[in-house]
Amino acid sequence: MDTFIRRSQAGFGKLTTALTFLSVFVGLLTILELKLGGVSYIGAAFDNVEPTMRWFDTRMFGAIDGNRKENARFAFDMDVDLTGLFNWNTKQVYAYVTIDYDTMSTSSGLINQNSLVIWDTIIESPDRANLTMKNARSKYSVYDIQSAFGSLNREVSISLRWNIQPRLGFLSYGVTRSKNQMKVVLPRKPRSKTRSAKRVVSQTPPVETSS
Amino acid sequence: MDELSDLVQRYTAGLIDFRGQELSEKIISKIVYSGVGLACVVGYVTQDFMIMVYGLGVVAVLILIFSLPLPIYKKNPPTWLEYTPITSSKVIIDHGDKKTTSASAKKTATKTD
Amino acid sequence: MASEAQKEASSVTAPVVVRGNAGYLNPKRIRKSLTQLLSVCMMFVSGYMMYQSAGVIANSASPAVVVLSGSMEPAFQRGDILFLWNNERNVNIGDVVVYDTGSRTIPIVHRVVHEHHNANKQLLLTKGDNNERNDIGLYENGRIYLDRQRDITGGVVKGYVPKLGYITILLAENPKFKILFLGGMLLLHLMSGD
Repeated sequence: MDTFIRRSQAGFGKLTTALTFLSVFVGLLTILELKLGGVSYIGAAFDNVEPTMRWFDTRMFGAIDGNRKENARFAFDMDVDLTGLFNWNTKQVYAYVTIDYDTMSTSSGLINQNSLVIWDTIIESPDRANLTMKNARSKYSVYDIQSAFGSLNREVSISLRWNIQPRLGFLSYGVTRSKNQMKVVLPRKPRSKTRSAKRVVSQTPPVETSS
Repeated sequence: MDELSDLVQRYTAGLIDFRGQELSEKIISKIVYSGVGLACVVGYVTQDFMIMVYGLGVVAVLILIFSLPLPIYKKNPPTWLEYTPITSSKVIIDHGDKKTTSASAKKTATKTD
Repeated sequence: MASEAQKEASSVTAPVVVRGNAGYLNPKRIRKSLTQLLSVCMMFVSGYMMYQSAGVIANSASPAVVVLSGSMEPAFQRGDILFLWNNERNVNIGDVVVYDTGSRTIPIVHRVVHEHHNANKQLLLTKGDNNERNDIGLYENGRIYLDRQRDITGGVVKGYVPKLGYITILLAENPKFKILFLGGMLLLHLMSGD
């Protein structure tokens, strides 16, 4: 190589090649590290999950063509420790609570599988990775494709999922194992403001009065 | 364009001899591959990603430094032939194109001894 | 005296051919310039072909994209490069997808927050991490869902390199940088020698 520029260009070419290999290596190393660290065994506990149903008729809450949509909000307790997700290559962890459930489409007979994010947070350092929350509120009001959401047998399961955003390499996803089987029934809120006596009786158990 | 290129190169080229070229390529190769590897290891061991990034920056600077025309690259200067003056009576100027070769045959400079 | 005689004896007396600095359009020079042009074109074409092949493999028109907006911060910053994969039939909740809405020309990179699928199709709702609201306002024609087959044209973000693409942003948006960059390239070309 005859000139300074040619020599340094050749050198930077070698550096680029080396960096490409390095990037792939770091990406794979991180995946290996997570697997060996047993991140798929991280558990989360939910408790006191209470849904609140409400009807809306604006687009923001899922209503279109003038059809109102039944929305759900939640209060819940949660306990999970995500410190095992942090290593030298972890830039942030996106932790999100989802509710998952199946519905049956009446027209086509197909089974729909559904997942909705009700709460999320971004954790940027392992000091803040221990999430213990009592009586937290869901951040987002969620709804189904069908206009009614709740029903007597609409059972949804709650889980805490995570997504690791690396500094360099591949994105990783996972779901925590639930320490208790957390399912909750979403009740149906009556559409009309005036409730009929019949409906109230069928939804709530009779109250015993002492005489 | 050629003249401009020559002018720029006269001041910036940084010529070194042939042995020096081989040597610089070897040195830079070693620096790059071991430097990148070392930066990765140190970064991993300290569990600090930014240390690896700084290490890569150091490697880039080292590439520039070792591409400069350093004295170690100039240990084997090429031996040029001795200067011999042209006293030929026939000088043919070749412009590299077909049109003028026959014409230049007529244009040979004659030099009286 | 002896050295002068020596010099005379060793001087060249045969015809000497001297290379002249002829006109700019002689065939040799034209050939040389064309060859240089050809090798530069080859470089660009082979790079382009590699990129297009990657697009075929990843099933995405643009398998690598540069992040332009800050709506996914702090995960993705402007200048980051994202690698996409579009071969999955259904995307998962929480995945980061790249999609087009008809009116906008720039694809949007956001996260899936609602997901409904059956054997035939999948409907999605997306939201940028750094946005308060979800993307419903961005969907065209008053729709409230994206269709995975029809709208997710880029794919799912699988891999990521920080900040490498910032040069493309500077080149596109900053005219001073453009001139500086071109000037630098020209200088490098002059310095490197033919």
